[in-house]
Amino acid sequence: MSSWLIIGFTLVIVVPILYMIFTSNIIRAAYAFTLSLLGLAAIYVLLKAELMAVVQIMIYAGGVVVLLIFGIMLTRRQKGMELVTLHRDVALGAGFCMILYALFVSWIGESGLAFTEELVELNQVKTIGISFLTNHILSFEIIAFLLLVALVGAAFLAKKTDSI
Amino acid sequence: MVTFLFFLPFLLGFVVIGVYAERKVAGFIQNRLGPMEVGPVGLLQTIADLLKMLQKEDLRPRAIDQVLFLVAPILIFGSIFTGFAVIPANQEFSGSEISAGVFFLLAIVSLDVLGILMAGWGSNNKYALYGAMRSAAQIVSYEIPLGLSVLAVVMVNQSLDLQEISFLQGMSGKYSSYFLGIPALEVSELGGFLTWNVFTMPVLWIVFIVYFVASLAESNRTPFDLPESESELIGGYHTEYSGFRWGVFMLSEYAMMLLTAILAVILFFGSWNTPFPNMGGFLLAEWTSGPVWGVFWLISKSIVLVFIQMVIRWTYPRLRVDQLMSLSWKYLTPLAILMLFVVGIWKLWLL
Repeated sequence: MSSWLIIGFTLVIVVPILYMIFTSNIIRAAYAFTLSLLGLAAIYVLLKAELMAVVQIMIYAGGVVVLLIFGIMLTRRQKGMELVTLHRDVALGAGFCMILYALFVSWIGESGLAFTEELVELNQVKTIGISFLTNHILSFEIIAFLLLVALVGAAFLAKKTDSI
Repeated sequence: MVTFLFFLPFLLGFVVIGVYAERKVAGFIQNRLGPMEVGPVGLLQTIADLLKMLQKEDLRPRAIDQVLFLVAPILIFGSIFTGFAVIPANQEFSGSEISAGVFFLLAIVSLDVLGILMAGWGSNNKYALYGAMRSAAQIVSYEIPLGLSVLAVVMVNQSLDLQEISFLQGMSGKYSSYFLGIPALEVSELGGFLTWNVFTMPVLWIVFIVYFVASLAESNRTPFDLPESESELIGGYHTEYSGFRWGVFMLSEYAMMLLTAILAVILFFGSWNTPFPNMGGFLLAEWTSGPVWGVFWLISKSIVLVFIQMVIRWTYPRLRVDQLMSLSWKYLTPLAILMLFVVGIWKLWLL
């Protein structure tokens, strides 16, 4: 049952990505990307990482993709040109991707990560929250500070006045 | 799962009655009668409209993007309806029990922006596209005050699970509750409205106002109905839709109204708990608590909020785009952050 679900959702991840690579309709490509992100969230749910799945939907499907589509729509008919995607340097790109893929596979093999049959049941929100503010407080604060810097920077760039 | 199966038929019934109520409310506010012809006092008007709508021709303009045009209504309604999955109906039917309940709700409902953009782009019509862009900008901006106001409630109750938040606002909560947060006034035994979040933590009234304004904007209701403003944009992102597909947009609008109202009731007004406290020998709270009473209280409190949404729609004029943005970014967001701070201080030092 569970393994069939995993196969099904893996297809939900892979098929839209393939469509995204081969289509020339950029807006449909963005929506195909969303579908594969949702499939990834479903895989997280099957592995009982609920919080991770929700974060995946919130940040990627709800946030990043909206920005992406917004960008595509705003840049559409600039200088009277239609927006199409082209495939250039296919051989080079494919070569790099194969190398990257091989590296990932070997790294994952070395790291010893594996699916465990017994999935841990715990209150994820509480556990993750507590470990954020205890063991990982430094990285948490650094990320928060980086986000603040990016936010201030964005607000500054969006300012229209000439005086800096 | 059972709870989820309760909400779909309920939602369909609610939309039929909601559309009728909306037209009646509009009529009375404008000093006229509203629908009167079909059935007694026009009660069957929505049914007649529904039959007419279902028979309409399914128009598809030639220049549309077929796939996006057809998928958009399904995506919008699907994402909003999935939000109902975590809503508890009463003490026993608690919806999907995931620990990140309300967070999941906010995340999945935010996907309807994608559907709106899809509809606007797929229609290949500049008014539809303008409507979709406005809607996306509006929903993305108002998600911030909405999320912050929900966060304030989560801080008070220390849980993201809506069922747990519901239990904490009744007599069966884990902790004892204090009226207005004053330890001398313990009301755990009394129940009723005294244990609701807005009364145990009075700051939440202000948070509720922020939430309510943001939820109006999220569901594209007047005064924030710029995405579909018919006088400027014909009909916004659903201009090109007709018949059943248009009906799905209407259904999602009412579903969103109901969802935000139910969420407000759960977060602020005691969820499925009774409003009557125990008074001496009159154990009103215990007499009016139970599975059936739970559903009754949850739904009736939500309907009151939906009624307020309708009154607001027919009372206030529409905002301008720049006013809309400045309301969200300059007033609601700072206010929500301030309230979050106040609630945190209150929770840490006074309780």
